[in-house]
Amino acid sequence: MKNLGRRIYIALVFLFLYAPIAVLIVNSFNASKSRSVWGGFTFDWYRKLLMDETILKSLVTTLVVALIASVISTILGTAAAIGIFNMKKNWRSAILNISYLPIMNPEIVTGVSLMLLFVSMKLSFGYLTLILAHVSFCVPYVILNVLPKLRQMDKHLVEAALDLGCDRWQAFWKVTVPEIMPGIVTGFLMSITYSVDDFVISYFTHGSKAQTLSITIYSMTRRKVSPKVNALSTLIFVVVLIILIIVNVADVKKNSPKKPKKKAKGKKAAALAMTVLCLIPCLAFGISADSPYSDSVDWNKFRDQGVEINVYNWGEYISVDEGEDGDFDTIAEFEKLTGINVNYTTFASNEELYAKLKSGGFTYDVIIPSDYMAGRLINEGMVQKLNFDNIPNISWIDEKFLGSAFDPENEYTVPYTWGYVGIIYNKTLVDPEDDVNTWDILWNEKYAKNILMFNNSRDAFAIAQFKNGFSVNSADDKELETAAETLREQKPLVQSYVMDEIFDKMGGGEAALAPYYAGDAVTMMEDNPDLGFAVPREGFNYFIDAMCIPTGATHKEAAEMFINFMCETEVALKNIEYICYSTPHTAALELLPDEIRNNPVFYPTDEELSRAEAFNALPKTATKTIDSLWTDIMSNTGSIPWLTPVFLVVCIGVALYINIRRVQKNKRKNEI
Amino acid sequence: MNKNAKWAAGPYLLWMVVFVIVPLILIGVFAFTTEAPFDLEGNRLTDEEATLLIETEGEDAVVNKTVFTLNHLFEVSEYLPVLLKSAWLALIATAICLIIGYPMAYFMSRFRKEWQRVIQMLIMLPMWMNFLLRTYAWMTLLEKNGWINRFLGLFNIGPFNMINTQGAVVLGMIYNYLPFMILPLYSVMLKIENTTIEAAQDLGAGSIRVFTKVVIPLSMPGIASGITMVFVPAVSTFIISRMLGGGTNMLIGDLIDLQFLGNAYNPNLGAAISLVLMVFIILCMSITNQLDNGDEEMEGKMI
Repeated sequence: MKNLGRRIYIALVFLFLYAPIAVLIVNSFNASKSRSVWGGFTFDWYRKLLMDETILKSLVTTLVVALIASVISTILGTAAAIGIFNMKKNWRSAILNISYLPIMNPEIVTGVSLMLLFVSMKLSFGYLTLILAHVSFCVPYVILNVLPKLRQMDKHLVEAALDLGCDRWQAFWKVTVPEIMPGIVTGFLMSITYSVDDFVISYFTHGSKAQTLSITIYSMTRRKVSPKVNALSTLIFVVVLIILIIVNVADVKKNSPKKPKKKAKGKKAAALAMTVLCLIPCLAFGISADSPYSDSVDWNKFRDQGVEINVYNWGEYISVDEGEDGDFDTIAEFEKLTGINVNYTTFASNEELYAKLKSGGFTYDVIIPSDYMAGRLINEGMVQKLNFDNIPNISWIDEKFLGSAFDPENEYTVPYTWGYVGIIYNKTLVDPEDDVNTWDILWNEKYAKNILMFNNSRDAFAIAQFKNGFSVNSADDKELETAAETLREQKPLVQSYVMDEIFDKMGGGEAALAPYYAGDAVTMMEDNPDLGFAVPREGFNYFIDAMCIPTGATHKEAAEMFINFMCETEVALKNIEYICYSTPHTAALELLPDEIRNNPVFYPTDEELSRAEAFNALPKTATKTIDSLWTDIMSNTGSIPWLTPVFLVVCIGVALYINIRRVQKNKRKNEI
Repeated sequence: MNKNAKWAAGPYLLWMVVFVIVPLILIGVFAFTTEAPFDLEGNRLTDEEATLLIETEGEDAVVNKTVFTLNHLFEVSEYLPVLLKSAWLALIATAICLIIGYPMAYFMSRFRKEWQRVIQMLIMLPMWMNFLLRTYAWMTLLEKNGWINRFLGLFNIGPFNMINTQGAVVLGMIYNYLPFMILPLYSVMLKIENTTIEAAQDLGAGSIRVFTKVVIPLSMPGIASGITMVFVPAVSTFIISRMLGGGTNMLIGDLIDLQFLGNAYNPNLGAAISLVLMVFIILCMSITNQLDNGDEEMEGKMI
């Protein structure tokens, strides 16, 4: 009976541990794109996975980084362990305490501190920074595993070897190394495991050129994780499971008294299998077709020169191949046409883009900020003037969109899309009696916990400003305070602050109301016919997203070629069809189907547009005020300035007291 | 064995200085400094004066310099409640992990050897799935239209509002860090010999007394390291709260992220918050270390 109880308990714990994994595996065979609806069994995601360059590339990066970092850490850590072992006791414990810092410190602090280090060293973020960061948190695990083996080793063994005529090197290789081998192998395996699994530290130290799988998945979780990733993790799960089974079966079979050594052998096999696993995804990609693009441009200028550009765009803001017929893969087309390699990464808000650029570690060649952010970047000298000789396709862009307030002479930017903000609502969840054509509905308590809100300061403030009848470009402290107060009032009603996650949440009927960009609203309405879109009468924000080249760009001309490519009629058309925003490209607009061209959600009447207000770049002080008000709203707190110093002193005091008492206690113990 | 052997640690010591000590010093430096505008004669300007000067005399009339300040530290005061909230949620998560993990580790250690290995393997296996994906899968389970509510819906129960609550965040912490509690506990439980327990029983202790007087004291080192290994990552997590808490339950980790790569760019403030977090963690670790009166070095603690 007692045993049965134990078994049930263990089974329950495992149910808890494996429930989400079951979800992943089941969904990797789910024909429906939705996570919670079963649409029939399919292997499609596995097929699509093999065609997805981004995922495979990041898998390769993950494994390469893990392998290199683990090898370096193993060598460095083993040497360190041997050295530390031979030191005097005081030195030993001091050094050990410091070397455990990276694993005892919160990961986020380690990540942030390394990011600051790399920024101050002016290293550009990429493979190098990733590997350095991974080595620094892997080494402690190696030391941790090798040191005990050195302790257990019989000291006389080495002496015996020396007596028998070995020199010191021989004694080291023939005696010490085999003795500590199990520790080294375990350390290596732990390094690989932690490196593959790491997200937080990679998040702060990765660059546009090297994205690990965690980072790719992270950028997906902000919107919708592709079932392809489920397929990938199912594969990884199966492979690891098989490796573990083999290792265990091998161990059980041998079942010898000298367990540690055998264990190490199994682990060696595991290490080998892991290395093989690293090589699996190195598959070839090859495509060929002929070109419909304008011939006035020498697209081949950079072919075969190993030129690489980094493009940083909004999530879901470019046409990609989703494995359906007729899908247009913008990046692949550009690479094929020009031979230029593109690293494509995405951001979720203008502010995130700004933070990445400002931190200095990230190099981008093409970015696509919105109007006010473009203005801010221009003002702060963070983007450079374009050479329009390289961008002849600018002639396709409607004059209406050139020379806007953020770039009056139109020297820095090429408009990509435009659009405006309205309210998306779920007709089945919103009372038809209620007026949706007003921002007030987002403050209606009836919909408490059913409202989504912008997770970026400028858009969120704009709504509060419209509601209060202020200008969205107000730099007036009082008006900003009032707007912040309005947002604070709304917070208890908000289910979640979102950006790209909105597709998932509105599409899945998780919330009733949300402000968002009109183009995205159409995408969501296609997924979920219950959704509607309303334009608030108090006014709304109208925006232009424009392509620019940051000051630190490595390949300006190649970047201009990319911008020019994006303005090719064919490309502009495919992209606008995919992302469903409104296009400033005159020829692409002509080619759009009538039902889109005449759809008021895409192309509202001039009368409606007269209520729209565009963002301008705000003065620095106002931006600062908004940023700090926003942080306050998100963390809803009051302020007592002297609290932190007191808190710090108390913490340090108590910690010191505890530790000193401990040392004294130990001393007394030793004396006795 | 060999005096020269200690030099083998040389490269690592160099590494440690550059990649462990210097970065931590940098955090301190950032936390206590700020960029302030100066005019060309070296006079400090206020922001308004600087804007004015730029407007009248152009960009070059103002230079930014790094100056010492305590302001960021004062600013952090606003966010101490966030730290305390994170600590509170992490504490709940740690307690529940201990409650779930303790019996689990004990049962595990009393199984036959082969079974122990299998169970241990099964506990480690989920760690090979990306942690973001596992957390994302919890979203699928907990949502209003998620699997759990659909399942309960079959029996006309619910739907419950589970996602975007503090409970969901705590659940995410428990799920992700439970193995870090079970494994250290298991490794100390292994060392408790059955004969010790039998001896206690022979001397007349009932099962409760055996548990409180023998098993718990002997497993103290495991409890201490389990608590540390769950509490530290839980208190500083930033992605679980965003995914399962919906951004309305901001934790200290989110706050740091917000200052570095998020919507409110201010690395100096971010560094100050990190510094405070670090000190707080040192305090917590000093306290948990009290539980464990054993070895002076930490070896063997990490499984």
